[in-house]
Amino acid sequence: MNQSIKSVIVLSVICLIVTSILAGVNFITATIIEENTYNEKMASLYEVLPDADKFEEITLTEDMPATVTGIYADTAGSGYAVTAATSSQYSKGDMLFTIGVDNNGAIVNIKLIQYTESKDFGLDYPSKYVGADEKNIADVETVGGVTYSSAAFKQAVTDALNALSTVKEEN
Amino acid sequence: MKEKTGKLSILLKGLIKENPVFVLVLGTCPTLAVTDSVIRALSMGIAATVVLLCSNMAISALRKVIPDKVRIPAYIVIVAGFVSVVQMLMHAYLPDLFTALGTYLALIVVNCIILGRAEMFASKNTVVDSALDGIGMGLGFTLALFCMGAIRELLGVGTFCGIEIPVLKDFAVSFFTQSPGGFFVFGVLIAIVNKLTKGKVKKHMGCAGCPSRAACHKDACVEEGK
Repeated sequence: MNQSIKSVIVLSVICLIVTSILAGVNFITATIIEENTYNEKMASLYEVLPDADKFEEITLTEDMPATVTGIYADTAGSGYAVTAATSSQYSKGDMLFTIGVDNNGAIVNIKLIQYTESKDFGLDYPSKYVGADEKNIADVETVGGVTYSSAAFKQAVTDALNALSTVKEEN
Repeated sequence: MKEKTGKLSILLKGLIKENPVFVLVLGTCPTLAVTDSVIRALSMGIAATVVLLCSNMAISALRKVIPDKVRIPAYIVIVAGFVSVVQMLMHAYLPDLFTALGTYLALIVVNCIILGRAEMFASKNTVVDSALDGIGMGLGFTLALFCMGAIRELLGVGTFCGIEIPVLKDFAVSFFTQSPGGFFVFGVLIAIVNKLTKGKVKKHMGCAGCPSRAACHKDACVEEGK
């Protein structure tokens, strides 16, 4: 009985100490990570629309999908950039990406900002969406081996196109 | 007669003689997954070495405190804590490497090398010896990853650390960057290392043929070693 109590106490103390250390490191690194992610996101806007001059952020309405985190219009009129995030039950964490859409509504480029999936997903799969638009995005297939993640990604891209379409109609 | 292990021996045995990848055959998953490029291989090796060093020292320091019943959960909590710290630090200060390693950085928690050395060595030896073992095994792991990464990237892509090698680039065989190629290179390197370290087929299965016999203090192994 004493040994069991000691086991519980020791394990609990170890967990508390480790948690405290993690909280401390998170306190130091959280703002840096956030800033890095923001800078990457802004840089990705120009990567997906290289001909863009300057981006103007469009205010998102409350009924926008949760996966869409920002819509930016190029002031020179070359198109739009949409930032999105997705989380899947089987993903390590959110995948953050930016898509560039031309004035015809077709995807011209996709840039992954943050993802922790396997190489099978990260390198080739997003490129399959280039050229797709709201009408034919359902034809893009998911990837075996990362089925849930690719399905979540596809849904997020679909949400992004739908959100952009809504914004363009309102404007 | 019980083998005497000096501090230098503890540090160096992980490099070749008891290399965790090619001799002990531990950590095979990250070995095959991240060795398609030298940069990823070295990043994983260094991250694993840091975790191995820190976890070995912590577990060794707590070896007389942690009850035997909960030693595995305690080890996992400690290892997971260090891996999470490494993850957060890499995400903040080395975001490109963090993205390159992807999900395999978190999988260091269940890397057999980490838990294996914690159970086999750190829980039975002093903090200094455990630190040396962690460094040695980590460097051995990194060396193994580097060798595999170099071969696979040179032959599979024709580059080294992303730098194009003019002649190899034209004759790159993508097979080497794919899973079958990884297994092939892995098998060949195991064969070479085993030839270099043993030179003959093991005649004993059991403690006499176990490469970790020196670190294991089980009565049967001590008796057989006499």
